This record gives sequence, C-alpha cells and structure tokens, in this order.
Amino acid sequence: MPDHASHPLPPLAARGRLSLTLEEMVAWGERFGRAATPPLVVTLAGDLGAGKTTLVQAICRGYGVTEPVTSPTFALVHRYAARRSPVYHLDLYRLRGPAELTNIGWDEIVSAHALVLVEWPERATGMLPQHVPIDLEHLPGDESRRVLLAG
Amino acid sequence: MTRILAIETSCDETSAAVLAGSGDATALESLVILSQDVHRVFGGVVPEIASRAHLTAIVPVVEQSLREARVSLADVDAVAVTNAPGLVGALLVGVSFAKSLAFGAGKPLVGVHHMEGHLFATAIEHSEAVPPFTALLVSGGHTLLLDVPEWGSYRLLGATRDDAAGEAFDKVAKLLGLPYPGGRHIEALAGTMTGENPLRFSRPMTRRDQQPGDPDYFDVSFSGLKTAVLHAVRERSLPPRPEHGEDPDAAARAAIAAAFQDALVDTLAEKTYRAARLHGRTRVVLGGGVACNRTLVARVAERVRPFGATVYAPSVRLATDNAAMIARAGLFRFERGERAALDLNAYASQPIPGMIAA
Repeated sequence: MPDHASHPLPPLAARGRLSLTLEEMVAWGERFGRAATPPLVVTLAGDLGAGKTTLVQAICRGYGVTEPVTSPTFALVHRYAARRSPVYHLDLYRLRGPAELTNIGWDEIVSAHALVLVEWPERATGMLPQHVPIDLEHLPGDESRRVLLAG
Repeated sequence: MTRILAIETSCDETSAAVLAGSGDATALESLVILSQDVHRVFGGVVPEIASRAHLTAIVPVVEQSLREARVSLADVDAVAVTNAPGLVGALLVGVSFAKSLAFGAGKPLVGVHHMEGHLFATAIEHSEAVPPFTALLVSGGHTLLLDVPEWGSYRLLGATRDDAAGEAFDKVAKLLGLPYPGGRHIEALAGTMTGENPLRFSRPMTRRDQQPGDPDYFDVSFSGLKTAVLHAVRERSLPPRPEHGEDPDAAARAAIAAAFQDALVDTLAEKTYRAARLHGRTRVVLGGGVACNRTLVARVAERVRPFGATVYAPSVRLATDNAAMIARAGLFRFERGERAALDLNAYASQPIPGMIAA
C-alpha cells in the first residue's frame, strides 16, 4: 500500500460540514480541483443521485481535465489526462468487495502519481490508502441543497 | 462468399456466431449467447466473475455455434473477435482464445470494435438498415448518436455527458426497488400506468432555442433525471418495494417509472430527430440493449415520420451484446483486406475506427 501519509491535504479540503446548493457545490469542487496536488486519493460517498458525478466533473475541471468526464459505472475506471498528472475516476458501485479490486488494477492506480477519485469507496474497505474523504448527503426537506462533509 | 466465426466477450455475455455472405447480403448461420445469470444475483456485472465465467464458457459456446451452423472450423474463412471496448479481463478471454484458434487452424484474424458491431447488428435482420443512416446506440455503458454516410465512416454527433441511457434505467430501477437489469422492469411497470400521468420530469438538454453547432444540440445528460426520480421517490415517502406479494404503492411507482421513461425516450427521440433531419437521412438505425425498449422505438419512429424517415430496430437477441454483429462487422473489415496480427490486444476504451470530423 503506498504511503500518502506525508502528503498534506489541499488547503481547500477544509474540514467541516457545508450545506451547499448545486452551484455552490460545483464551485467548491472546481476550487478543490485547482488546489489538489498529486499524488492524492479522494473518496466520494453518498447515495444514488447525491451529486457525486457532478462533483467529480467539477473537481476534474478545476484540475485541468478538458475531456468530457462521464460516469465510469460500466467501465469501472476512466482515465483522463491533465497537465499536473493523470486523473483516475473509479466507480466501485458494481464491485462486491475489496477482493475484486485487483482485477481493475487498483494497486497500480492508487500508487500512481495521480489524482484518484473513488466513488462508492465502501466497496474498498481496508484497501484504501491515506485519502481525503468526501461525503455527500441530501439535506432532509430541502431538495436544492446537499450537505458536503470533507476531511 | 466468406464465412466468419465471431467471438464476443466484452462484458457479461460469452457469445459466438457463424455468419456467411458478402457485402450486405449475409446469412446468420448460428448465434449462441450464454446469459450469465450469476450477475443477476449480484445486481450488476462483476468483473472478476465475468472473466472466470467467460473462461469456463468459451470452448462450449464456440463449439455449439459451429455445431448449430453445421460447419467445421475448416469451413470458416476467418475468425473475428471483439477487442475493444469493454472490461479488459473479459475481453482478453475472447481475444486470447480467438488468437489461438486462428493460429492453430491457420485462419486469418480480424479485430472488431464492439460499438461498430452494434451499428451492423440491425442489418443482419433488415436488409434496408444499411448506410446512409442516423444511428442511436444506447446501452448500459454507451449512449452515442452517429451519422453513418457509409460503412466504416462514422461521424460522432452526440454522447452522454454523464450516465449512459441503460445505466439510467438500472439506477432508477434500483431507486424503485426493481431488479437488475432495470430496463425491461421499468418498461413493464410503466406499462401498468393508466390514465393521464400527473408526474412529468423535464427533458434534459432539449431547449427549443438550441442550434446545430451548440455543444448540447446532440448531447444528452441523464444524471439530473435520475436525481429528479430520487426526489419523487422521497417526496412520496415510498417504503421499499416488498419482495413478495402485492406492492401497495404499485400505482405511485408505476407513475414514476412511466414519467422517467417518457422523459428519457423523448430526449433520445428529439436528439435522433435533429440528427436525421440535419443530415437528411431517411433511415434511423437503433442498437444496444435499450433499443429493446418498445416505447423508445415507437417514440423515435413517431418523431421522424413527418419527414418520411423509417426506424429500424434489432430484435432482442441482436440488440444486446452478441457475436452475430461482430461477425457482420468482421466480414466488412475482412472484405476490406484488414487482418489482425497475433499480437492483437484488448483495450478498455478506444474510438470506433473510421471516425470522421463532425
């Protein structure tokens, strides 16, 4: 397992609980992407429809990915080029457990000099290196906002 | 006449087919598709199991396809195999097997792009489903709108910005407590909807003022629609769907399923209509698993009928992943003189060969 412990969190991953509109979440993601320095693993947890893909798209945009960022649910892993480093976008939704990670090149991906964005990280319990965890939750009774917990 | 043996293992189906003919005059001699029910148990495609299941299935599936075609390997002129895109572990099983078979039998090998296969699938059943046409390929992993002036020449017009159409069906099915794969369960549930649907979701990226050349003129996006469904489920505080017995909330779930399906197929119909009209195509060809959705086929047909265009959709066996379409596309590539070397590799993603600028 690679050691990311020495790597400081990007400053914008301010630890805390934010209640954001979709637009604010996108702006937050773009700022986060601009501040991120590789190697960095970020996990995104949250229910279906919580906005994980939208946030990933914003982070990628901020990081300098110019290609369209689409859902990797089917292919499991998408790789994008950016000036600072490659970006890996993983969706572990269809995996049953950590044992199946080897098949998608998990060890190589999380030890690469890259920005690694992992959706459904609970499928990789025990296999995650040091990472920035982001949780997205719906705000009960308010469709327009979601709660973002980072760090 | 050329006879092709084709192998397809890009996702969860192990499939082999024998097809013979030349040009657009072809006959499908056999098609074997091994549905790996193991995936239904786990609610999705599980890559590790997919590779292992392909490994167990490939020899009997290929043997069966030859037997059903009443031919032997000696009667085959070339071996075609899907080598991109898909799950690499799964693709490699087919690619390695096809290479060994071709080498051992002294037959030429042809690599086929899975999505090009889908473009050829409908032509196996409908002799008119040949270029020039507008193509809409909709499956669990892909949503592509293409203009096809001729075989081997493809203009990518639009794609999904986030979730593929089939993926949207699967995820909405999950939100409604329906089994995987979600498409046909949503369609069946939506079909039970009676009367006017009080619920309506907006059609993503279909504003009237969009012009050809606008980036969202042909693209689609289904992520927001999925979220809208989630909110509709929550607003109604729908309890989980009971696994057995009568669902007391069946009517509410049917309304959501129907509203979702309407929004999705209307969006696809509008984009397809725009593509056919802009390029003056009078034929529209559908492909991929979502092309099994009868509401989609009907809605696209209805939308393009005013300017005289006809819609061709494949049967269920040829819409979903199958080796017949790989044989058909392989025949085209073979007749163009293309041969793959024995170092042919598998790729998770790769553009369709023959892409031309939009």
